[in-house]
Amino acid sequence: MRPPRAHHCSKCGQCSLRLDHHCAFMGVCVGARNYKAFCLFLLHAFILSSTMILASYAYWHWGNGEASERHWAVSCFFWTENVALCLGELFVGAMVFVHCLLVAVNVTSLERKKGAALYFPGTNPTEQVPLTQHNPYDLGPDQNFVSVFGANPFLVFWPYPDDSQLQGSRFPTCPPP
Amino acid sequence: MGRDLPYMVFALGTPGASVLQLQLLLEPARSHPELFPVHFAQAMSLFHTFIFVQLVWTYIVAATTSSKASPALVPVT
Repeated sequence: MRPPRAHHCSKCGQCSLRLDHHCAFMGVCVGARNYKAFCLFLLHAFILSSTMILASYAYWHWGNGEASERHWAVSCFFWTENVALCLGELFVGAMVFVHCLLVAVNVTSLERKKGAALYFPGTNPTEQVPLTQHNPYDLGPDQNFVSVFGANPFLVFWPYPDDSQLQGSRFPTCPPP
Repeated sequence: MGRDLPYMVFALGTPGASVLQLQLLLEPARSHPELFPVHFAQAMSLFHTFIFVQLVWTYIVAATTSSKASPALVPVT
């Protein structure tokens, strides 16, 4: 029997527990065991881009010499990298925002796409309710955060998952309203 | 894996290139210390290096950790 939230990835040709999506940037499926590391990677990429944009701004305004006196190669490198950084910042910022929302409601990217097509038992045992009406894995923002980042606040930035929280094949659920 | 390689290079290459800009942090501090104190620039540079190391570490962990379901749990039918 297939564990709940496990899906087959056609790109990898394997089934992953709590599959979120196949990440082309990492070349692997992001699932139960590496979702925390993926979220931290996004967060650090966002912080890094932000600090570099601020540093570039400071360099351009207060650095030695006028812009016209700088070597053309320095200016080309500067502008090319800053355009790439700004585009990367927009992309990574959007990803950080989306995954913050997904973690807050304990939904994977795949479940968000298939929302109306995923059914769970309702109040009546014979009734099936779509995910868009009731998400049984949503235990509240605090518990949802703990389920991904672990219960120990000192290990939030440790990229390995908290094994005491990670079930992989079993997930605590809340009853339908 | 092979088709993902350009994306993987981009994922680390872009922040990697930003390390070359670390020196840029110190130049405004040298020319305008009243606006951009040297200690602030050095602290920012250290912070930037720390975040870059964290970025590479989380990338390696995420890219090498598999969430593959056990065959015992997922029989081939």
